[in-house]
Amino acid sequence: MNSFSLYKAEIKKILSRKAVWIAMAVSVAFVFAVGLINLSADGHSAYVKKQEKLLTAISGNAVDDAFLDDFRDEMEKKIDEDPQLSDMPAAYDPGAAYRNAAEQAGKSALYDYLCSVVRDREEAAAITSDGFYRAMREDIVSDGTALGSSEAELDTWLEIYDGIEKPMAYSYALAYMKILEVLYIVGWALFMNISIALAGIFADEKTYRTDAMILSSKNGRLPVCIAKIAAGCTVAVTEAVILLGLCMGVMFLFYGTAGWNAAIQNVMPSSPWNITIGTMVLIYIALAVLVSILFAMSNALFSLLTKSAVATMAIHAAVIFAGIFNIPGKAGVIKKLWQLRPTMALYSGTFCNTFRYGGMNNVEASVLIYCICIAVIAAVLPTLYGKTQVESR
Amino acid sequence: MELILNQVTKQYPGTVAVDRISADLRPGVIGLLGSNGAGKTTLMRMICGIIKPTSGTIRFRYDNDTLNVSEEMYRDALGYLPQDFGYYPDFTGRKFLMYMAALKGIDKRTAKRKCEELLKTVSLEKAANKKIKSYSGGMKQRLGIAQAVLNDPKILILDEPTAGLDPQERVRFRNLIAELGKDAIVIFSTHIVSDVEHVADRIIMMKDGVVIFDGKGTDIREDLESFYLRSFEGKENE
Repeated sequence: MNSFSLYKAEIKKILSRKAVWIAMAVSVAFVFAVGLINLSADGHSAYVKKQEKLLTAISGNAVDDAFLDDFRDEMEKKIDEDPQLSDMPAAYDPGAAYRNAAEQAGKSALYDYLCSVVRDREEAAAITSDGFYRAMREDIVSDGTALGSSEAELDTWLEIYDGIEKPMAYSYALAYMKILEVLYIVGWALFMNISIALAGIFADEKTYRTDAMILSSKNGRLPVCIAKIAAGCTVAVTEAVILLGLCMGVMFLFYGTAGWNAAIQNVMPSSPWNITIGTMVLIYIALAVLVSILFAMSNALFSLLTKSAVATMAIHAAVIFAGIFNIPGKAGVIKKLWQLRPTMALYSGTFCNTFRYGGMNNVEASVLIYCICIAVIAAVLPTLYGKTQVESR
Repeated sequence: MELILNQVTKQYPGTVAVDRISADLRPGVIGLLGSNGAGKTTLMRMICGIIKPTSGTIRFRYDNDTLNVSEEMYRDALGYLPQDFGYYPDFTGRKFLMYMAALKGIDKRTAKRKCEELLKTVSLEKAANKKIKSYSGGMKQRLGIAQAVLNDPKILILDEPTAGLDPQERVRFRNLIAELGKDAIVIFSTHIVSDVEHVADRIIMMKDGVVIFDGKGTDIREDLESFYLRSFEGKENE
């Protein structure tokens, strides 16, 4: 009961800071704005709704020759009916006529999806079922090779990909595609928020000179340390759930929720994973929660070691900034490990990573490494708290 | 109930802050007098378990139990107001007391009752919902005193508690200390002689880390202020 009171008191202490609320409000506004920007880029909401209705109607159909022929026939009919659609010079954009026709038909998302698989707008208009799945497979190989995956690693993933039943069912899943597009922004906002909220979790005791009173109180040693860690993790996870939930909520509101049970390749064509979009979303949520806890723990660690909220924030800013950079595929094992950095967890490429980590995929390896890091920090913090707070004086 | 200091020493590189202090402290008000740098704060911090003594022991004997300074039970019996009382500026007075109550392991119901009582005792009930950053120096100090006695401590350590208090508050505070001293070991440090001469049952005078006087105010055959000043003359002349 007392420990719970202390835990609640620590949460209240974190939330009593104005900066926490300002940062959260900015992030919420930012995520909402990103949703609006996406919507405006896709035309007005009436068009998006029309498209959702039309494409949901054909969702569940297998992407086979008949499906592709039907779509092509519809587009060609549109082009015949409206010569203006093909007026654009071919040299300028060979697939423009089809894109314009798809837009007029309210099916631009389907055409864009075909283009994302084939990666050539003209070819996308003429693609056959065989070519479609061959292009998907080739993408896995070319992306994997560019990443630096070995042949053995690629073979493992191709085996998984080949095990997926084909033809795959098409599904309108534009909301999830949009979520993937903005996921890294959400990740950045999340890391920034966690750092602002928790950088002072231990450092504030020194800054505000409350350390002596805390240390001389009954719960001022291990219980307060545990309460601070638990409160920090709770705040971090709550922020993750709010930001991720808001991002999903905004996209679902604008683009509908259809696509949960569809294959991941509907939103990530070059992914070899044999999972549904729904599973992908759940994995992202789990990763977001885990990474939030890891960030909360590392904030607590640096806050305790540096005894300065500013220094803690600076360290995390540097970590987040370093996360932007990619290492060339030639770097071998360093590249492989670099792909597991926490800032990559909320990245759309997570399910396109074709590295293997001792029999594990990147998500399994990330979860294992993050859990080990969390456990190590959790084990070290209470001892370190005693050492830095009392024994060093 | 007694607090036993046995050869307590704190050594820092190049200096001995507290040098082999031994004392048996029983319930009552103990005034710790000494100029700046005499070692009062270091000694108090060691009694609070914030600093580890280089050598020597501090033990609290209570109800047939002997508690070590590092034990949770010892800290449960402890109340402490540091010299530089720190606070969270965005907390209200009430919220701060509730937070300290949680740290002291007081259950919520008792904490609420105690907070209200103490806010009244230290005349902060009207300012209880205002942020501490808006408090005057005296108000902050009174809040510090309130947090120190939240858990009805058996050992109460007050480091320069009268700093920032106006004369009226000083008198009220002395009365409060005298009341608390009936059931607890109250050690309060100051360099203002008038603060201790009216309430202290025992006076410990420190100079350069050692005790130079330990006894009752009445043991001194002259005016306490003159005795105090004379005791420190040597230092000033050096």
